[in-house]
Amino acid sequence: MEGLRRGARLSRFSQGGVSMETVAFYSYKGGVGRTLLVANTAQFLALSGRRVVALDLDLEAPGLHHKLWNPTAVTTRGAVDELLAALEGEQRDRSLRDAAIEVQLPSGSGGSLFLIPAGSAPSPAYWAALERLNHALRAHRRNGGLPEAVLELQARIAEEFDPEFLLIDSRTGITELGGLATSLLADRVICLMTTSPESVEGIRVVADALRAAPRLASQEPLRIEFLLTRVENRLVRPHRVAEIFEEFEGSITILPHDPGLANGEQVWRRSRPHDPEDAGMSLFQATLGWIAKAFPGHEGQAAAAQRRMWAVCEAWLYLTRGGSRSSPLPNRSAWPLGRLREGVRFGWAENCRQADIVAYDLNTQPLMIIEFVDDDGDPDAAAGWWFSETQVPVVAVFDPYPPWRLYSREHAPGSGFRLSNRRDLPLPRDFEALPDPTDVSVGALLDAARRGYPEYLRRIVDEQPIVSEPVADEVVDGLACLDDIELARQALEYSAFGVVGQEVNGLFPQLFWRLPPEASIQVAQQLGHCGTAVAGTLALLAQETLGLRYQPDAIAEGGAEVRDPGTRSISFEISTASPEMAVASGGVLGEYRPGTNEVVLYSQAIKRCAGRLALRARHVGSVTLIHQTLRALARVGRDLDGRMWPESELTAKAALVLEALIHYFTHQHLVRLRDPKLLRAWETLTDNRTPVRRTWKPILDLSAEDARSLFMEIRRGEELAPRWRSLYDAMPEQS
Amino acid sequence: MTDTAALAISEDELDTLVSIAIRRAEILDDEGSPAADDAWCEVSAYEQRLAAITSPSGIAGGVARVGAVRATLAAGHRAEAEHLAARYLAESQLPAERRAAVERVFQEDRDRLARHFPALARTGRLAEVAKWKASAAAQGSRVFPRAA
Repeated sequence: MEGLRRGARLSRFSQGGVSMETVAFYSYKGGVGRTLLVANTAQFLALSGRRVVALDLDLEAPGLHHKLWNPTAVTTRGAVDELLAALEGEQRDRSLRDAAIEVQLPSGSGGSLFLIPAGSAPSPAYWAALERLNHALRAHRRNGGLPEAVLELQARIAEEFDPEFLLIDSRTGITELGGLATSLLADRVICLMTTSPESVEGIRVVADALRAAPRLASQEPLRIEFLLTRVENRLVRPHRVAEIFEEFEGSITILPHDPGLANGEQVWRRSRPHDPEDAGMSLFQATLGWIAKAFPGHEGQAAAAQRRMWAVCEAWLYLTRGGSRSSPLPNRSAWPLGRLREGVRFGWAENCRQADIVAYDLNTQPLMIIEFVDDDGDPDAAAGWWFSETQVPVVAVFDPYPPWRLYSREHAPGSGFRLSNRRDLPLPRDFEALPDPTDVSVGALLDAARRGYPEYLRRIVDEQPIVSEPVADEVVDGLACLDDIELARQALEYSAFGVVGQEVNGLFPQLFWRLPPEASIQVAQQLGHCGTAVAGTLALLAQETLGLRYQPDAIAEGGAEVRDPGTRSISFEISTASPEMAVASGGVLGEYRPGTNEVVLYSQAIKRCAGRLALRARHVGSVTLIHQTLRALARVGRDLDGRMWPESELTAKAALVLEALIHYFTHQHLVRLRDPKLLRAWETLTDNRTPVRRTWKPILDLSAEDARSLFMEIRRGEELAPRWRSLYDAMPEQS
Repeated sequence: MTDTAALAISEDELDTLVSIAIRRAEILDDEGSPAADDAWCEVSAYEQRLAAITSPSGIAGGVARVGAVRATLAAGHRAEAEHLAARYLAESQLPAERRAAVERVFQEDRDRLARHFPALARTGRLAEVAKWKASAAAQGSRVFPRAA
């Protein structure tokens, strides 16, 4: 096999012992992704350690420079100028390197990639040069023609660049230059076509002509390969793909369709696939697979190149889609394309390094360097180089698979750098909102939220487990500290997102009770009650604390909504009625109204009480909310066996015992919430209520099991068990 | 022009015509005009007429034959020039110095091409290209590229 390969190489362009394979990429019709494939193949081969020259001979519509290089940079010469100079006999003292652009490759790639663009296109100067070339071809035929000129260019490329591969982006259709590139210059032609009849027919006819075309005596027969591109979905038109397969006797490779590329003619990394299946990625995968198969050899380096291209692709998609590779479209948080660049080299001479992606600020100062370091590389050393040789604040180093390693100068010891706790790539907003974009601790994100970037609350919330799993204390405590009603409301909304019925996450039920009650009540009013996180939170409270079931709406196993006619929804309200009115209503700080099933907080009374007891109103409000909600749940909740509160009213004494038990359960819930500020507020309030200390003590000293057992008996209006008699008799007849 | 009409033109007349045609082609060449190639084709036509009515052993006949080959090459028609040269060189009466002149004309053409395409010349493929062009021209419209 190796012998065959070596034999094949000898047939290629040989110049002074150099063997160069010339591969022309041809399509009969445009828009098949030909130029893109040339660019990707060139990059892949160069990253695999090969020496590559990419030549744009699509003179009438050049575009390879857009795919391989920064098109805004100035180029003055190109293939048109070199062909013209050859025909006019003026290129003798000029190096072809004047017309070539070295495409930057990552450090240690081993290969090289030079681009010879068509010229300074598009520009009037280029059009003039193209016109002169056409004129020269019509005149002075004794000085040779286009065949000699293109062969001269090929020979000069071989002499001056010593490449292993010359990749030609050939003109579409039937043109003289396209014919010469494919039949005279090429050792191999890659024919691209779509499934459209005209594309297939054109390629078939041209391929037949190419097989019959004369070759130079020193050339081997031309090899022709076929690629079927923009195949939307093999399942949609399987018969058409099967027909084409048959027509080309199965020797055809399929590349899937990518609408972003088709519409935008952009490099895959800049594509914007519009379908959820992310055709951009499958196209990229298929393309890399084809290249690796079509250009065998250097397997180890080729695999490394493949890993690098994949990784950079992942990073690019992440940056340009605002943090989600699977997002179908870029969002507002994404990096604008104008602030990202690929393959930028920093440093001079031997002491240089190439960033795979650089993100810039609005003044074009680098904000973040992203470099791929393969398995055998040292990410810390790579980061160290960037921090010592540049002023960039953030460096991201990644291996073939996320998460990325982020390094930052901020808070680093001495003049060094430190590895961050962040594992995703910062977006533009992070550089604006966070003092250190790599610091995504809860404290840093909360600070950002307080400084006017509330969206960072979402980041805190989104990283928490969805269903009932433990949430880190740091997260809950951090969010619970939010005083601002609007921020608190947003935190609750974010943590309620996606929650259905009883499926509450670990965050919402804690925040609902610990955040300012104004926010909690606003969210409860806004979300409604049935099937929301609020209902789930109340159900959790009823079950954990009272041993009751609260299920105003249940979802049956079949998915249908089932209304439990016996369970009424609890609603919440904040009243600004004066304390006197509140006292007159009997609730003082808040109350539960059985008639309407409302829990009402009296904000004025709460403020006044908090001021008098040196407490914060929000904490007094929260404990009042919990207390009154438990009273409501005790009334409307069902026993686990389904029994409801009896229709007959309790005796005054039984009501008093029940009140003491609710007090007990409130304290229990506050202990479970582990919020010292709420506990302090509750204890201060309790200390200031004489009956609690004096007459309720026997009940407050019960075990949890006994308290719940007593609660059930009182609630059912049944004859109390003998063990409760002495305790019951010790209670006053009324409050 | 019919054969009868051509034969009716005398050697002197042709001599005058070819002198004028050569002068015209040179002027167009100097000006870089695309019409120069056609002008050299005209010169070639007159030279071939002269060659047809003159003996290869004579001065006028020998000069006309060399001139016909040179003009054809100047028009860029290498394959045709090679056919002409082969025909004239087959004439036994053609003096040695004229044969050498024909060879020199081709050598000058090769040198000119080598000056224009030095890298290609170093590969040794210039001669191959000429054959390739002839072969492509022989295949005509069936070959891709169409204008080879």
